[in-house]
Amino acid sequence: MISHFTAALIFAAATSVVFGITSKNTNRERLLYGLWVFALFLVISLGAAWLMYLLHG
Amino acid sequence: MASKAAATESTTKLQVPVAVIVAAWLVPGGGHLLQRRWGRGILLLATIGFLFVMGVALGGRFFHFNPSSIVETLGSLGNFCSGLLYFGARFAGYDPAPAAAPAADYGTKFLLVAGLLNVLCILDAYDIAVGNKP
Repeated sequence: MISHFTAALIFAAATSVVFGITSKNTNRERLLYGLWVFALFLVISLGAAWLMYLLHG
Repeated sequence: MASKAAATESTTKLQVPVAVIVAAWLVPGGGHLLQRRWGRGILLLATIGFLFVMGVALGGRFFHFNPSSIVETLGSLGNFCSGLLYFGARFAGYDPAPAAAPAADYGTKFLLVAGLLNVLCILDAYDIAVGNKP
């Protein structure tokens, strides 16, 4: 069974690749932007998860 | 004479790259491949294809066009944007009923996002075709 976090990682990876390719004009910019978007997805997902956990009590 | 040349140039600029748009819709990254952007095309095809296959493997469902439900209607449009992946899966008889399992729900989202990401690919291929991007 796939975990919620694994599903989020797959989603983040795929979306980051497409965002990187379609948003920037050079390969270097694409790579950096893709990594940046992936990191943001990861950090925001974990942050939101902890926030919900703490708010839930 | 000059105005005629300008009009011709204007008409040329307004031409819509239909083949590129259709190729990009039918095959994720197809618009890029058609314009010889091999690396980007293959990466987009692999990424969106993987997401779609994961969606199917997890038992995700397709949305169905239903004017009385805005969610179903918009979702069906999103699925439709996956092009041949969507038509192939439907043609092969893949159309599971909604399931309560979380994995199937992830799969449904993957199938939908694959279509939506392909919209970005179509727009990018269009930008390349009209010269807005390298």
